[in-house]
Amino acid sequence: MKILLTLLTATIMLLASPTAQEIVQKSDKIRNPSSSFYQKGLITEYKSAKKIDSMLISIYSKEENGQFKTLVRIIKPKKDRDKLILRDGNTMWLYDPNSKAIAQMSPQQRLMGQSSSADVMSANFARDYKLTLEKVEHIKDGAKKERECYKISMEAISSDVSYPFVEYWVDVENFYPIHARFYSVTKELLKKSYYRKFKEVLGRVRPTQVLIFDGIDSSKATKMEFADAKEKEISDAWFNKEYLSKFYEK
Amino acid sequence: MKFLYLLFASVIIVGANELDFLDEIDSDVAVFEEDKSALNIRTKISFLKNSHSDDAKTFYLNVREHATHYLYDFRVIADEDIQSFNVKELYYQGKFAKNSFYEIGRINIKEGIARGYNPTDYFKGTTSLTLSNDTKERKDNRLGAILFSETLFLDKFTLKGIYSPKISVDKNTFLSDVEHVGLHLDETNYHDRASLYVDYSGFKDITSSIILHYNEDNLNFGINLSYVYSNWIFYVENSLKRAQNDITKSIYTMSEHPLIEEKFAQKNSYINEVSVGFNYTSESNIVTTVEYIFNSAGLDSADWEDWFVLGKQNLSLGGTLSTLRGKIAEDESLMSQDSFFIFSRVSDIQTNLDASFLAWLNPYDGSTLSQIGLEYAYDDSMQTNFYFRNYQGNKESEYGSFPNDYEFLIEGEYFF
Repeated sequence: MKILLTLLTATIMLLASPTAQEIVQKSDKIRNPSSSFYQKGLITEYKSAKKIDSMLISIYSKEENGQFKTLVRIIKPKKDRDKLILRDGNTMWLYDPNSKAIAQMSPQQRLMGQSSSADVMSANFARDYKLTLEKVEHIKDGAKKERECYKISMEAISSDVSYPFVEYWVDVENFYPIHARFYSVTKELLKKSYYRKFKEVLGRVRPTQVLIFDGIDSSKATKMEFADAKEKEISDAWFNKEYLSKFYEK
Repeated sequence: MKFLYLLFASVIIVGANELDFLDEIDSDVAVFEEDKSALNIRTKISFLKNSHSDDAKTFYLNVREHATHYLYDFRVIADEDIQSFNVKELYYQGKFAKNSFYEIGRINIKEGIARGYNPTDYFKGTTSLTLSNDTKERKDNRLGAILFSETLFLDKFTLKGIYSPKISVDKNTFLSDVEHVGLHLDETNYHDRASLYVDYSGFKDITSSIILHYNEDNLNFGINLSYVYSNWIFYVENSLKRAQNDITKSIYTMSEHPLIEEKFAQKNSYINEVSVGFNYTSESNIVTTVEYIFNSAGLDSADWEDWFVLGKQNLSLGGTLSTLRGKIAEDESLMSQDSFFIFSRVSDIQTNLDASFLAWLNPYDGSTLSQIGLEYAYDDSMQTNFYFRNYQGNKESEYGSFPNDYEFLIEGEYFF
């Protein structure tokens, strides 16, 4: 009887919730500014909490029909300085100014540590996944604080995404993205991420840090921090591979 | 309603273990500043040892800077025999209109979607600063040509026109034979060339471009196509021309020996070059490329047999044939009608250690050129690379006939 009552109440509660689509759309708006923008990113790799590598990048993003085009310039390390990564949909290019070579790369290719090139590019979860609201549950967020979250199951419907299956937790109170688990086609856990350090950025409160942990070995962590965000008018030409050799930023 | 959530939501605490390191990770202070005044200077010292004990120590200095309207790229190479200074690139960049960019000066033009060999890379040839049997390495280190280019970005289309004028008629056979200090315009601009590129990006997950390239000898038609599916990238690159092939041209340049001409020199005919392959990124971040290359003008199995028979029958021709191969390699062309290229790279197999594997394979004789590489970064500025290159096959095979069986290359790099 008690179980039945709990199930019934949970069902009523879920029915009263916003739909999975609404939840993820609101959360997407928090993760991604809707205008074209610039920001700097610092990616730091850790092994058992010990810092082992870092990469400083500048990021230019522009939304077009719900999809983000992104251009990344590597600032540090010095050996990779001024290399450019361009993503338009599933098409990604790596440009090396030292050899002037442009090579097509997979969005799954890792940039550093647990972070793939796709992770630093803005993603539109609501557009690219079939969403199911599973339940509401309490989880620990990236500051070890307990949060009440919607748990959404996500299954890719677009070929533009890097992860076929995702479990996504969104704060019930304010639709902040809190936690995500990314799975392979065979449902193997690839990585876990925590959205942290919420601050006022480009007109609303957004996460400025993402902590990514390896799906198997949690001692492998990658911290992605973002700063200096500003709205910027970006020409469409920047997102063309022929433009890469012409790109200049100082 | 919120009360109901709090009362009945199942309480599952996830993510406790990985957050154990939070304090240590948070103690790191992020620094986002960039040193904007620093020049891009790269230095490299390399030590090469091969199976003939012909050791070579070489020092490289590269200075490259890209500013609002110009780019320069200088390179100094010094070893016991050669000290050379090269201007790889030096050009001015400007705009005619918002989406119309022009460039004028010495510019490196590199085209092609393939990873091993690029049939549509029409500006290759005798301009590589690296004498290597690996075409990829030669492609990465070449001199630009004097040219004017204009690129127009139009929604889904990109149009690019290039004109590179003839400046010198006297061309040296090998870049390594010329004076070591100079612009070497005779190597990069020895005939008139013009190209028209049309790139279309309107198909989802597909990239496509067509190229018309004219030079004094011939007209080339090239096409590049790629398709992305999940972790896979499939590609094809094709070039068709009616001309003498590079091997024939080299034969005319190097030797007019009737025996060589009779066996290998083909007159003008349609020549088709195709590179087709795939690139796969595994979940453990191993990136692998497998490529097949067809060159209708290359040597097939019977031609290779003739090649070695000719060398054995007429010893005076042995040296010429060997130099001919060097010439074709410096032209960044492939000798065989069919070749396979494999490249694999794993980042961070250990902390700051990357590994790579590369192989060229001749399917007729089974001979291979393979290379294992390890690259270790000490910090942001310093790196050590180690490469072991092995030539396998019998002495009458494409790769087995190289004078060395193996080579070790150790490099120390410092980035300012």
